[in-house]
Amino acid sequence: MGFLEEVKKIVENENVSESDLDKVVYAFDSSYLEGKTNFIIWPRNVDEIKKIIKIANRERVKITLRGGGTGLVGGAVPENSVVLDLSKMNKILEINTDENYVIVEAGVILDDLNNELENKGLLFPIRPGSHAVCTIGGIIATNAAGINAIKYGKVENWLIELEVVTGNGDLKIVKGDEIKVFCGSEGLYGVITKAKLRLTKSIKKTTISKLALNNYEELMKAIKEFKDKAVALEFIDEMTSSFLGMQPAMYLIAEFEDDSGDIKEKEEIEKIMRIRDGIYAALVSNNYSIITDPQVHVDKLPILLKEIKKMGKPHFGHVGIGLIHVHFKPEEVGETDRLYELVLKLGGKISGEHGIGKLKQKFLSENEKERIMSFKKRYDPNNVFGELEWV
Amino acid sequence: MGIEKCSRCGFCKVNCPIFRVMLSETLSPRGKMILLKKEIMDEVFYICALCKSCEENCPAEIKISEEIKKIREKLIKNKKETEANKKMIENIRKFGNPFGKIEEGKIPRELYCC
Repeated sequence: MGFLEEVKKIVENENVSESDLDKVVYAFDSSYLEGKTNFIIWPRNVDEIKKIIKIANRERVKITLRGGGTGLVGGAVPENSVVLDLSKMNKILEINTDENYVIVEAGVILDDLNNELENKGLLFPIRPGSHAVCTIGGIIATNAAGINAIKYGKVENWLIELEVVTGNGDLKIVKGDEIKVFCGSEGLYGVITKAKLRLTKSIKKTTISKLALNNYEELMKAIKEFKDKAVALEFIDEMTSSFLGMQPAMYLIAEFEDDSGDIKEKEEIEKIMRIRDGIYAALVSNNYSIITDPQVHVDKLPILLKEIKKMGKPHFGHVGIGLIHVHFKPEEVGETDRLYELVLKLGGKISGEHGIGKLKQKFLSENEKERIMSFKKRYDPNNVFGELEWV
Repeated sequence: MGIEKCSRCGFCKVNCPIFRVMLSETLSPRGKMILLKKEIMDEVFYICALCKSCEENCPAEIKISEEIKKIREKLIKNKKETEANKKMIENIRKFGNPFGKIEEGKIPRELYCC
């Protein structure tokens, strides 16, 4: 019996597809890559996943994991592999208001979770741009950050426990230091099936300051002033501000959870938030649909920003943590390498929050490759998950 | 704005009533945009409520429902029509409603929706 026939016995027929239409659609995620898949499986519980992975391990079938399909570096793009879509594992299992934690399945959408938590005065505070579509499993796999990273950090700061199915099909409960191995592992070592997440109280108050800047010195001065008080520090360059219909200039928008901001009126705050949340949309609608996420030490920002300005690309970012989103047109994809080389020269990271995926593997150092391979050997020795171009 | 502007961000899925129930990318607006770009014509384009919630969230401001209507017109011209669609049109012509003959106090046996 082949892999597909065995899988069909585990999940019902409606939860596995080899239709031509599905194969076309599931060859993509939000990156510009196109892959190829043999078929797609929608497991409904961890027992099904264990059985599926055991067979895949035995039959040497490659599996590509998929959450919301919002990754920007091709992590969910299959390469002649089977897509395991976790969307149907979307239950919130427990909300504990005494100890402020939640237990969720991997396919729960981030905003769905926060909508539930809001009713109980709680919040999972990591907020990537794709918060309305991305899944909890996806943001753990990429160790997502987002707009409030300056205060709340990355997903890894909010994990208590993970349930994972490794490459052998074994169930593993991950706690303590080992959490950092799986958080940000981009689906290479196992399937994250369930997570226990730490929560904070929901935000009661927001104020904002919006500064027009004349130069990078003013930007650095403002970052220094606000860094310990703000929950978000968003930079917008001249080009992006013109796409947003603002007076073209460099801006810094600082968000606070107390009275520190100059703007306190709810309507004015909401207006600025709408502009800020609309940046990605404005750039995409002006054909700058390729987004990158380099990160440097905050002190290196003036050098990086000056070079990006010379490249003539619209950019914005979470400057409190040194992360800049530089946008390119689809026909300019080749120019991204120049940016990454510059970032590495500055001692920065080519990815601050989107991950390495398939697009950035050539920039990994030998040390990083060795680290990945040592964990592969431990958790996925037969390489069921993911494609590593150097292997 | 045309479909060439679709960057497959997936924001169109947020409130799509079809996707939220079926959880299939192929039935989502993003899936349909991928199929459109590949020039694949299929009855899957009938599985859309034309509610435009996808357009509310599309950063590229693509008129997704208009694109789907155009494809439906082409499908009909190519005789690719669902049985439910044919029956619904027949019922509207014959009885003035999509459900067929409705007996007083009784729920229609077959419910069709545009």
